[in-house]
Amino acid sequence: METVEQDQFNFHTYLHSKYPPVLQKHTETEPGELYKEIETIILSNPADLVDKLIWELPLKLEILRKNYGLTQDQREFIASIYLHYTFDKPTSVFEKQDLLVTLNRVIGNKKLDNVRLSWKKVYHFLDEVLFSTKVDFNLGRAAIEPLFMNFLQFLKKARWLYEESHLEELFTTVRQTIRINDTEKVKAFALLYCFFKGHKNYSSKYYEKYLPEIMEFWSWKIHPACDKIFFEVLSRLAK
Amino acid sequence: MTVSSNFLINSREHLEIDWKPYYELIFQNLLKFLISDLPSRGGNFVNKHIDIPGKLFILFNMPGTPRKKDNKGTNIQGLLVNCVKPGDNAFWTSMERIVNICQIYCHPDNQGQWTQTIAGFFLRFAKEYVKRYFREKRWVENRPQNYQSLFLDDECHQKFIALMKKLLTFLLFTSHHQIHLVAQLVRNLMYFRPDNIVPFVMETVNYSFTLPEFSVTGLAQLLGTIAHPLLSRKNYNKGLYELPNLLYQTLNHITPSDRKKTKSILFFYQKVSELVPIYDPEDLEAELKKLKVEPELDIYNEKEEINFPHFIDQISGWALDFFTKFIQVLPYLDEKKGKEKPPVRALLLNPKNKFNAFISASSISLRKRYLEVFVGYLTENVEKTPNLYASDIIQAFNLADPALTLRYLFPVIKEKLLTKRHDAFKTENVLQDYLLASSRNKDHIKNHELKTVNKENLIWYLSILRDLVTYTRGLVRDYESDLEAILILALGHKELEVSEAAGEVIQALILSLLNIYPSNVSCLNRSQSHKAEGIRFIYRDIGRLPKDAFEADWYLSNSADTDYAIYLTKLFKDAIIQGFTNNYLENISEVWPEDLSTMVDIMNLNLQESSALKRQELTRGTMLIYTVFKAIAQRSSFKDVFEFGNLAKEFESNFFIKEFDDDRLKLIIFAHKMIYWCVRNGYAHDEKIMASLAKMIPIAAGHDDQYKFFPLHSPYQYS
Repeated sequence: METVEQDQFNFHTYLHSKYPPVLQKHTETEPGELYKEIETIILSNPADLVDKLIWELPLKLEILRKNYGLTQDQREFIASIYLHYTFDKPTSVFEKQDLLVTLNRVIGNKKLDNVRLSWKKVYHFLDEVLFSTKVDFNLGRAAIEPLFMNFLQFLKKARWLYEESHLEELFTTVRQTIRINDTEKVKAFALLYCFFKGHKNYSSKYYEKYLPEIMEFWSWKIHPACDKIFFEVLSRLAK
Repeated sequence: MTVSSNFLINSREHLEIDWKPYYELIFQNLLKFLISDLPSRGGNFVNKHIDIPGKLFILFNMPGTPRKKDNKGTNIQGLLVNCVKPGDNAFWTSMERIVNICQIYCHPDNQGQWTQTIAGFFLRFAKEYVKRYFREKRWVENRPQNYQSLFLDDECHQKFIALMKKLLTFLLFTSHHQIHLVAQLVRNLMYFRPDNIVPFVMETVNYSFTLPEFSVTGLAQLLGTIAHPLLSRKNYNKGLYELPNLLYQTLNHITPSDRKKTKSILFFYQKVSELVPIYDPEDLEAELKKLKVEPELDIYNEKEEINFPHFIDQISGWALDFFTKFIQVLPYLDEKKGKEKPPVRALLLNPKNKFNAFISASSISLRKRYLEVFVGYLTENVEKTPNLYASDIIQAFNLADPALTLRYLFPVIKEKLLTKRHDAFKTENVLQDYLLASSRNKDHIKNHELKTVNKENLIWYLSILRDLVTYTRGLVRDYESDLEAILILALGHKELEVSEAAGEVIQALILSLLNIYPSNVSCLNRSQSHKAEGIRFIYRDIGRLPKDAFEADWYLSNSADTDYAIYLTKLFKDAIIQGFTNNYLENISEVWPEDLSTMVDIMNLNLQESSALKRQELTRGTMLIYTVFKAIAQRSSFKDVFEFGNLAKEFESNFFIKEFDDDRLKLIIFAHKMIYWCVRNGYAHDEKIMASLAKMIPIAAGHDDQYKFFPLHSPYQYS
């Protein structure tokens, strides 16, 4: 795999040159050492790595991210570890919530080019963990809603990580879900809102396949509140 | 390889999508969506009406999702802008219809929250349009020819600008409650097509000044926001010519009866002075002479349409008029300082200070004239509570030129506060004995007494003095004896509040000696333009971003400053600790030998033994120790108290001052013993004494409530 030299200039390097000399000396070595600490903890793979990912690493990552900024490689490495532990490992709902918070902060507004995520995993998480009554029973809503909020923020960032095949699968699911009653209709549209994304790597003119269908859905008699879903979905297509 | 890269480029753009067949559906729903937020005879559409699962309901309501009043979440505008194709009249006709409907809600007689919704919608639309324009400008080189035919062309731009002008005809008259988004919209458009938009906006602005009932509050905010695109010579060359007229028009509206109006005018002036240097013509000539350039102001007239020396004259005249007028209304402006300020352990530059830029931008002889005006204000007025603007003005003067400020203002304070003593000196309390014993100016202090003894006046002058010593660095050493006399005499004043105010002065004084701060962030760095070439283009470079030219002028204390700070610490902290230790704590060898219940009994039994005189002395003494330690806390080592990691140790050795090494431990021991003594002698019920003592221990041990909001940056993170 080709390694691309990344542009190391960020806001910190600019500010760094403006600091007084006493501070410059101090701040030069800190980011490197801090990242090395984080990397060593992850690569040594201790038995309590999940705990470390939740309690120890977020603090260090926050200092690194806020004061110095993460490079793209560092961001992708850390995000992939957190994704793995959120969606592949058997962790509890509360652990997932903390993992998602850190994940959202690590990804920020950046796009991860070398990380991929299966949309089905996210969909199952939404369907089984968040919408099932299994979790909701006596924990109360308060316990689950922060998780849901974090998850919604994560959805926005995760749309960049799906393969093209997710579109076909998504539309199949939407067609299966959609019914004439309002509840099911809204749920199907919400699925579109959560997962539909055009990506620069997708094949040419894929939109021709899906645009008429989306417009068809929109022309149904729906509540104006649902118009927003279609505006958003179409604007993702138009960009 | 080439095939796949072409394929990637082609597949990225979706401009080829033909949206025309769907226009009807899109615009119909857009209108429905937009109108649902505007006032109408029927109720607004709220999505609570539909029966959707609870969690999906959150989906529509959370930030970043479509359901938001200002349309921030939805990228409808992104969709609309990407629909546009050259020669697509149907799109612009539909957009015009939408604007026609929106105009009803923008009329000055029919404005409200909904105006902001509309401004927000079209602000986003304009932003997306400009974004697409620049994106396509970047792509012109590496995209195939047939694809470029889909890019925005001049005809599109003309239609876009015409549409925006139509909208702005009413929006520009928005009141100050809703102007924020409108101002941003105008600024964006000014950057995009300055030649079309600036004359249109200026025409409307000048017209609105002629309307007798029109309030300029919103207009001044608008002008402040658009100052950069208007004045930047690179963006729009002729904008600067409009400036004197705008400045003089708004000057008439500074009034003490309308705080908001004055505030927004100050905002406009701040933005202007961040960009435009204010030179007295004589200063400019002197500077030219110094750089051995011919001292003729006509060199500025090259390629300019107006008479530039006249312009410079106008600007400096305005500056002096403004400052004089503002000082006239200053006693009537009831903008007071907030009472509960968080305890500060560092000097923080106040970004809200609206005078920083104005005073830094003015040349030296203008500053002198401002100071003369300000001296007049200080000698004629005494206010009951500290005035926020007076404090801002003094601090701005200090940042720009501390020596000049001290030379003008300190004599006034001295004259108001100090006078020669005719009778024999007698100390007011034991605290003064401690202080005089270790002071190096004791004779000077004994020969003087306080002229003002009224509590409120004294506190007001001390608050002025505090602002005066902030950011003045080591220059206060020239006034050392007088300053010390004022402080020590104030500490002996009967009223406790006066002592507290004196304590704050000492804190500010030590902080400004020891702190590290950039002294020039408040203005553009003009050191570059002070070269012979630069001064000729000083008005032609207006609007150039200071990012590249900016060099922070860091103030680091030199050894003389540090020595003075150490002397002050020894005088106001160590001398008192020593005095208290000698008088009260000598017999205490062990703290808390008794159990708790016995101590509680002792505390209640001894309550009667406490004397008011001693209580006063203890209150002042502990308060002073605590205040002085706060000022040196950031440069005092954690030796024997707290262990830093290796990374911090290196920094520590450079930054901490050796003389303060043992201070933390000493303070902890002193506070423990003092609390014990207070409990045994019946002073434990006095909340002021106990609060100072109790706060001393955590702050000496490294707790810093300045980190309250940023817990991650506290020293504890290294533990």
